[in-house]
Amino acid sequence: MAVAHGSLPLPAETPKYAAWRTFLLNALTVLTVLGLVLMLYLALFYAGTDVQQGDVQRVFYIHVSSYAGGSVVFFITVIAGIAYLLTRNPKWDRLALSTVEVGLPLMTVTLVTGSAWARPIWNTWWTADPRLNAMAVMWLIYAAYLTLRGAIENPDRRARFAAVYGILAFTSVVFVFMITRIRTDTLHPVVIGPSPVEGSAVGTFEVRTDARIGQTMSIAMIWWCLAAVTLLWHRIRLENLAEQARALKMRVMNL
Amino acid sequence: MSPAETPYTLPYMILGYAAAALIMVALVAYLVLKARRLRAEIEMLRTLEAEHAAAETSSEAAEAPASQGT
Repeated sequence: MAVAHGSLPLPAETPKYAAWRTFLLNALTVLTVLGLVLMLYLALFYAGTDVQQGDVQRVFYIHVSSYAGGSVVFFITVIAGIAYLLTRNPKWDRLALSTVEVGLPLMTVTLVTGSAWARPIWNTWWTADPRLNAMAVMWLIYAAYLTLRGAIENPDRRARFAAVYGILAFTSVVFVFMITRIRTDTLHPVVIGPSPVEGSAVGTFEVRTDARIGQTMSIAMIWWCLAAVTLLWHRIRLENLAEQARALKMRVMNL
Repeated sequence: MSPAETPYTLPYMILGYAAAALIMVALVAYLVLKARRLRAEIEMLRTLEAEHAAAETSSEAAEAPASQGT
């Protein structure tokens, strides 16, 4: 179906191709739902209970992996931004918008679950820690992306601005990942890889001591990345639908 | 540390999972509701377009015998 973006027509797709894509998306959605069941079973029943932290440690399976899913989606924002700047094709701008709208809720999951974990372990919901502050700043940067987009009326300027902003904003994602590996004054544990803090900060757990914890974490990481891609695909379809509605509205108004 | 000293932190685990579920359900609901609204809008616009086309055809049909008569 040919859909217009303003005066720019979208590429036409054959009904067979569209049906194949719908089938693929439905299969991916079913796989994501089944994966959710498996991930929850592993996180809640299969992985052992942490001796030092108790059951709240199980929050890590969604706290860490939702960040991984969000990072993957925000990396796609960078790719979409570069592709837009090179081609000026509005489909890349729509992809970039979709990635931020999906990535931001995933990062919200990271923030909220981190806070729920910190309350019994650090005895506070939030503290002025370098990692926590960096995460909050990153969240605000991407929230501002959506707000600022809405403030620019010219579609070309908006897309150009969003592409550059989306590329630069990804540095905050890298910074959040790196900060616990650089700074020694952070309470936040390094879940994967070596920590610069000798003896580890309060609330750390050793992934290597229990293979089930490592296995569950790996499955959770895969699931959140899969869920991110599935949600992103649904969001892109929604954006294409919105484009179709805009084009139809223009046609009806010109009748 | 012995297992007997393991703290009871289950409510915070439930809180974390519930909050995550709420956020994800809100995202999915947003996608579903927006898709439904857009489909309804497209349907309405197509109906409007079809009605306009039908009205134009009937007015052309009505004008044709009149122009033949003159």
